Amino acid sequence: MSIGTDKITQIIGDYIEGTISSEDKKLLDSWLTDSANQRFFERLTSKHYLLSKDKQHQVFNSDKDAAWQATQQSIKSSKKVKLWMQYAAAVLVPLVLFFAVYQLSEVGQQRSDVASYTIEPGEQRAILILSDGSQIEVSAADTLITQSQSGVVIDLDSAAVNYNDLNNKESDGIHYNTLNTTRGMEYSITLEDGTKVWLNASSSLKYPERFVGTNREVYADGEVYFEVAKDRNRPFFVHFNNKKIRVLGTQFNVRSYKEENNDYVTLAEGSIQLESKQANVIMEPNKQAVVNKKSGQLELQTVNAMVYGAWRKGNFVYDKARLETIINDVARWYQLNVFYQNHSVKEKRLSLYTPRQGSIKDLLEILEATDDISFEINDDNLIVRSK
Amino acid sequence: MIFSEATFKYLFDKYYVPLRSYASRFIYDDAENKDVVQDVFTAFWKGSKDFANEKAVKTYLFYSVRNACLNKLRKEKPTSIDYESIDLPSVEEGIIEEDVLKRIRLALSNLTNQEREVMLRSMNGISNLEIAEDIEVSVNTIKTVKKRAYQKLREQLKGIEWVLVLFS
Repeated sequence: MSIGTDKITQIIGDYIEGTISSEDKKLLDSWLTDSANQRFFERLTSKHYLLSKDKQHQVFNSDKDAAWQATQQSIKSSKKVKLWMQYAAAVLVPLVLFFAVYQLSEVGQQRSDVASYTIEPGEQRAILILSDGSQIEVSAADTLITQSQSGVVIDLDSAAVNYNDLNNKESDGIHYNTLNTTRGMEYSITLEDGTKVWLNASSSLKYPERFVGTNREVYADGEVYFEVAKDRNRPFFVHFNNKKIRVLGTQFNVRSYKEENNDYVTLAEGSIQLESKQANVIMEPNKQAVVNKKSGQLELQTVNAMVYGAWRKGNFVYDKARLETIINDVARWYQLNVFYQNHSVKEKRLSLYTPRQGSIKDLLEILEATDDISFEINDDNLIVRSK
Repeated sequence: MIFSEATFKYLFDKYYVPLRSYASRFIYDDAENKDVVQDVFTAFWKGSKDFANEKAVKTYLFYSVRNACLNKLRKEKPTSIDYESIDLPSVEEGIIEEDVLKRIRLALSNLTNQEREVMLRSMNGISNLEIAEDIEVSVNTIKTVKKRAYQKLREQLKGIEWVLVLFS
């Protein structure tokens, strides 16, 4: 069909309604020299076909509401599984806390006279899981070069993993690696396409050694900062907690910790599209999307994005942040267990600017000075009180 | 194009009937083509929604229905027939047809249900007497209904030759 679909639709419609212009009639005649077009045209313009199709459309139209309900049902049933998992998590968290408190009360007493317990800040360390399942613990002190299955050279050195595609041979499929940090670890990585990624403590990134195909797709968990290399032909997607970010060339921070109520995406530069089951937004720089995990509700707020990416430059920076958020980050970094004497203090808003490599004592002193809260450290347990 | 649940509802309302109609040209059974279209919409909602405009969405939906229908045919009636090569409606054909039908439907909406039923039966070669028995009206009524329907059709769809066969 060489004439455009819109044009031929209009011409056939005009023909049937008897309003066709002589010019269009010529176009139609030349279009009909094709035998397949002619068959199609004859069928479509037969009285019987038009009337029976008209009747069929009425029948289908009467099904529409029920079909809409059924479609919504089948969409929702896939959501139910995830809801179930949220309930399971709600049960598990109190259980874990129970055991933590139990251990604290028993073990804490025995340890009270051991004065040598020291709290250290985190360090640049991570666990790299290769596509064959083997694990390498990487740290700032190592310089190690390995060659992966896909022929990509992995260069592990001071505080970073770098992927270089040296021998550009055609890849034989996607090989995923995973970089994990636990509490007290942070690490950064340069992917094969040049994209830089920073992992905060207790975070994870799953990515292919070499990107294959038309999309670049990675999977994140915890707190991860991306500086995505521009490639117009291969969009970059970040998947996290049932959400997806489509990247149009840019820098942004993803924060999706299991133990927190919200997921946060903060855009520093460029433009990204955030997609979840319930919402779909395009974000501009210095916008932060806050997605409530339970309701799925999304709120966009204006922030200073620098603040939310400061951790990767080695600083704790907060601008009127919730105390709980700050304490969560501190606990992850210094590997502490946190106990609140009074849960209302969690909602206090505080600002902070201090290096991540400093001592926990200094950090807590700053916090104590700025608001009416006090801290007590008992081995690796941090107790938060309101004064 | 970014879209929300409301946009999804809009697309569903607009394309459900055309897609069913297109699917019915592959799969005649209405219960089966209903399932196909519903599955396509479900997958569409779960999948990536990265489209430049509505036309791209429409093309995508027609392609999805075509593929789903062909897969179903291959799976349920595995023969040596290559379904791709036989004369099944292409996506382009499907879109043109549904757009033309949409326009015609406006013209046909002037017909009453009784007129439509009488016309369809008449075109299927059923005699006035039989139609009269079928829908429980007199033969004279059938004749009147036919006259009125033909008049409407002639006015609305001038391009088609409407020959009134009053006595059959």
